[in-house]
Amino acid sequence: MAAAAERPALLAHGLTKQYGELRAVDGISLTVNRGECIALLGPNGAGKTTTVEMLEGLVRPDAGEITILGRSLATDRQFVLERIGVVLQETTLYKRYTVAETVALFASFYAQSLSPEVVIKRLQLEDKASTQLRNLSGGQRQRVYLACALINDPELLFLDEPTTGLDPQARRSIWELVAELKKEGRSVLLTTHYMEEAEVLADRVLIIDHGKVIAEGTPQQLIRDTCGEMVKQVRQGTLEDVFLQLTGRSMRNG
Amino acid sequence: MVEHTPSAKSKHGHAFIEMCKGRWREFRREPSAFFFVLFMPLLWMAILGFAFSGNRLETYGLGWPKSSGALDPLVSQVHDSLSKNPQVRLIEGDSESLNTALLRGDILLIVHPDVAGKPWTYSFDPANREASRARVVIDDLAQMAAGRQDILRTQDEAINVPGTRYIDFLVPGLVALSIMTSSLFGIGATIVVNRRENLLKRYLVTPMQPTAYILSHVVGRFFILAVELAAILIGGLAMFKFQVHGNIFSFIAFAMLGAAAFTAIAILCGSRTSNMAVMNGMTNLISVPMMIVAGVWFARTNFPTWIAGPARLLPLTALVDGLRRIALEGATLATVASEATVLIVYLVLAIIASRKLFKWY
Repeated sequence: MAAAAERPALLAHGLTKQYGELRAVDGISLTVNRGECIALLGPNGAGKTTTVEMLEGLVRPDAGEITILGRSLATDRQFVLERIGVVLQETTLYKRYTVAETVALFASFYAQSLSPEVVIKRLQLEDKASTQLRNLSGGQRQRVYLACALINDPELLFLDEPTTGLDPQARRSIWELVAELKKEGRSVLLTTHYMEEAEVLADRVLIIDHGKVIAEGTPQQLIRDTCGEMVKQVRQGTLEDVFLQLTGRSMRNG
Repeated sequence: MVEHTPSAKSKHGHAFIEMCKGRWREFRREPSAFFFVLFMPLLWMAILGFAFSGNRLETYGLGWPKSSGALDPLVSQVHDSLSKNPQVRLIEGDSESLNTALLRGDILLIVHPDVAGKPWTYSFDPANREASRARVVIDDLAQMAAGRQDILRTQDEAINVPGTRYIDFLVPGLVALSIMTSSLFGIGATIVVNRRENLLKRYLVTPMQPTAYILSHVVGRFFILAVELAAILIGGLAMFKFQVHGNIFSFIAFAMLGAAAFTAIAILCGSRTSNMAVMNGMTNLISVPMMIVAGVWFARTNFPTWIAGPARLLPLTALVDGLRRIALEGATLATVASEATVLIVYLVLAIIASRKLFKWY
């Protein structure tokens, strides 16, 4: 157990994925240590989603190695799937299931899971346990999706734009939860378009563009290195300044 | 907050069983699914069953030119008799208004009673079978009214053998139709929506075996079949005293085979697309021609052989024919083996093709 805890939660090396002419991911390597939250940032079309889908085992890389919790994803997929939790972008679960039914369904997928009641309580959904998903607010629904991701007590979480479209209160409550999950020693791979979210949650940030990692470091390092001059100016640099400085200001198409 | 305690881990329901429970839940909580499965077949049965049953006689529209002068007593006798007959709708008018009535289909033929020693003349379109029939019936009534004596002594006797009424023919057809539509529009559409909403993708990042999802749809299909069969058979018995003449278990077994084949076809249709418009187009393309040629509502005898022959190889035709033969002729499963073979071939081919084509996201 102690030895396992030393190993990184996720280790990816030289990931490459080609779609026809387009090299969507071009040799990306990354490490997520135990209890660490890594944020992947990048404009639309940078290769962020393909990278995450390769790490989740949804897309097979053309080249590269992925090791999760000490096992190879390619050969020990089931072992890995039992121990990770995922919140995908733009997912809709059955609208006519209640919260309790939804969480119980996901519980049934795992050899070992937490009790649905415990997870529902943790996500502060106990008042809504018998409410159908179609009658929940966006923030409540996102908490249900997080409950489904936590039901197997995962050691590594993939959170793909977990707060997109939520109001500030709902966003803050999800941030608090992620901070707690980190404290419990869980590792998190986060993708987001909100720089503030990355600044608050991430221990390290990777900025991806054109299928490559173009910058890596703690939010503070990146701000200092990229926006050195700005810092001397009136206002403090933010991660948003870093992102725009490195990836340019022109609009990207998804 | 709750502490992270591995000891709180426990084993929960089996994924496949939870999925099957979910299928039933979706069906029960989706009002439109319930409506289409339960009420559509009953509505069809009620409308068509009552429209084509009972002993209402066929009626014929007859045009009678208005005459200015007094009628010959014999002609007026025939006129009065025809105008009182429930099978005749006598319409009088000048030749222009009678022609208009003919064009509108209000009358089928015009009679010109004998004027100045000329024979009675019936004007009608001989290519119109109903008009030809009207001519025979009306001439018969006119001759009798004029005093004709029949030579043969005749009487009528009503045949009332169960299984020969239109409703007996219709009910197995409606069972087959309901099985097809609730598979294609129910299961196929559900899979497409689940794919579009990334639910299938979400399942792939869990250790659940994807076949559990597919198999749960097959089991769910049998739940729905039970409701469909119960609705149609109980409704048919209550409204029309419809009964399955053959073995009810053979009937159910054959319906289950049909449901399995159409479920496989529905999964195949929904195996790649995440666009509901594409899915709807595809299911309509498959189901509408089958509904027409399979003989759901009326016997296929009126179709030319180049349609009726190949139509026998369609899954809906096989299902309709098999169910009808079991229900009406008391056929056993062995005697509907050829229909069963058609369904099995579709079932196997659709499973093989879906396995090759199915996309989870």
